[in-house]
Amino acid sequence: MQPSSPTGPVLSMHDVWKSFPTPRGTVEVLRGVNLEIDPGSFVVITGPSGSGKSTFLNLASLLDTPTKGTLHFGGRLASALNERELCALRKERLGMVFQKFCLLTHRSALDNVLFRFRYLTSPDSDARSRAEHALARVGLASHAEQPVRLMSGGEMQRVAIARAVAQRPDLLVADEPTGNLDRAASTSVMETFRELNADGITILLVTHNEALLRYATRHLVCREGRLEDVS
Amino acid sequence: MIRQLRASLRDIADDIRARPGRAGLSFLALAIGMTALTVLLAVLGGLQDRARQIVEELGAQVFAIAQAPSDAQTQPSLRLSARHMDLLRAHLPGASISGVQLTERVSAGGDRQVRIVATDEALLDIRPWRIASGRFLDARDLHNRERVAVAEETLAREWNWRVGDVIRLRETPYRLIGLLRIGADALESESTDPALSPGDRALFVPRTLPPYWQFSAPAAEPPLDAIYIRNPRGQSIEQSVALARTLLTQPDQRLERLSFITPEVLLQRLRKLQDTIRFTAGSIAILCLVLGGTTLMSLLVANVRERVTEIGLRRALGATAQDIAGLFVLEAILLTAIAALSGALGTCAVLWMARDRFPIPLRLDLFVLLTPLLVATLLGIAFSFWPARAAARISPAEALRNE
Repeated sequence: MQPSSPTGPVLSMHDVWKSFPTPRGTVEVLRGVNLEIDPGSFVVITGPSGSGKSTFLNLASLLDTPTKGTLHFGGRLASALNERELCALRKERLGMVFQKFCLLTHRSALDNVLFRFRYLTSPDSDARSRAEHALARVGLASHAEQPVRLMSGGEMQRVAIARAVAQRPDLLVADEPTGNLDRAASTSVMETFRELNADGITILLVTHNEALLRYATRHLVCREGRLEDVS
Repeated sequence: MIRQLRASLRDIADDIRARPGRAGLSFLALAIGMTALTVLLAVLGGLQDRARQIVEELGAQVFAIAQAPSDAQTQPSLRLSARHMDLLRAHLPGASISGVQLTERVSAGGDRQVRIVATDEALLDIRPWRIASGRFLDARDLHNRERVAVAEETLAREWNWRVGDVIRLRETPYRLIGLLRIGADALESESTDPALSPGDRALFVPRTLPPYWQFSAPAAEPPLDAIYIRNPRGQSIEQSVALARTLLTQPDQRLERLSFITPEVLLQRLRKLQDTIRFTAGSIAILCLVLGGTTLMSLLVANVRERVTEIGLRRALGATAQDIAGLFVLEAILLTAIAALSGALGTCAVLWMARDRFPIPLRLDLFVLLTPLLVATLLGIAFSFWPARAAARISPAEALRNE
């Protein structure tokens, strides 16, 4: 895999449109989004429900492709990549954190973090050491063998973050990561994000919670399918 | 590759642990299907072995012409005899021909009784019997009307007869010149005709000897109970049977109640049994397997529905659509293979323990054990195809929205 340019943007979108066919006709969810995310930035996107935040996040995570426009990830044009190449980008250069954690609840914290390497070819010992390091980084080294179903919401989300960063990503995408957490747990999770960003990991976070804006280096608002930079 | 396989196996084990009831139900349905299939294969294989054994015991390219015993009204002139052998010999060049006359329950001293088989030297060329020691009858024995006998091996062992001993049949001495190993278990089970399988009380003597063992006066032309013919190699047995039938059923031969025993005739009953079992047990096995397969498919469909978020997570972590489909196909193959192995192993063990109580032969070998495994693998692939394709087609974005 070709490494991303350290100077160029991690993600760039130019006049990106995304529409979905419905029985009532085509719905334009994103309408000409233009954006560049520089390495090391902490971008927070807010906006009302239905404004297109999740659709934007799916495009940014390479889980979906634009209907129109160009999207570059690490300098590579996403629309020119086939399914296998997109999968390779996702597994090697992207980290994702979800609102409801998406953990394998019957497995331990360490096993959940190791799941990050499920489709990678890293040697077992290397994967294990990186997973343990990631857990230590989010403050859960002592909980490695604990089944995640016995953990609190905040701990579960930190396991999810450890999973996302165990293979150091070019871009960490988080969709409402504090949506299911109380205030204290939210603060703890956001502090973890801040530390990761301080370590150089680029973060793209979508939230309803405007209190999280204080962690951002850049603030975008999503309205009616368009992104406005309000930093 | 091995690491990926190990990881997939772990994923599957986790999934089965998470939903033991559903996986157990599929396993049970498949194991029942595999049990039915194993029984079917064991029985059909056993019958096939029996059929091959019967043909081997009769002899390759061999057929027999037997005549049912005459009743009181039947004239001796209507019986098979040496002149019919000559007639057949003249029309079937290259064929080996031997005649057999049987006499039941002849005293061999004390309360010992034997079955006398009066025959000639050609019989051993036709029937696949083996000399255990000594020799069989030869042309000189027949020409000189020597009082010699060849005993069936187990009979000789039981009565402690050895080659060279003099034995007595109704007080007439005979020299024992050989021991014969017959081994016609399969033939005996299919035909009660002693001409075909003389059993383990048989004593072979020259056909030309006067029947000292009989009380009644001998007929002018000694009758035969059966004539054996071994067709020359490369010649159609059906044609030879048809020719023999034409020759012996001419009005001037005045022969009645003849039966032409070919391998086909002997296998008729067995074939009917095979067809019946194939149809009945085969239908049951197919029904069970389809039932097992559909249960498996419903398990996988439900799994796909329940695991949409997990599928989304896997796609987010870089799994391709092919990886996702492979996971479900592998799970199906593993489940069916384990069910097949358990069903087939369990059934083989039970059949092996109860094999003596079965009225029909059974074949319990690797083929019977491994065929269900192969069928299970194909079944796993076939019935997981649709759920696996459905799982692979789930859009990762949609799957994660399901979160």
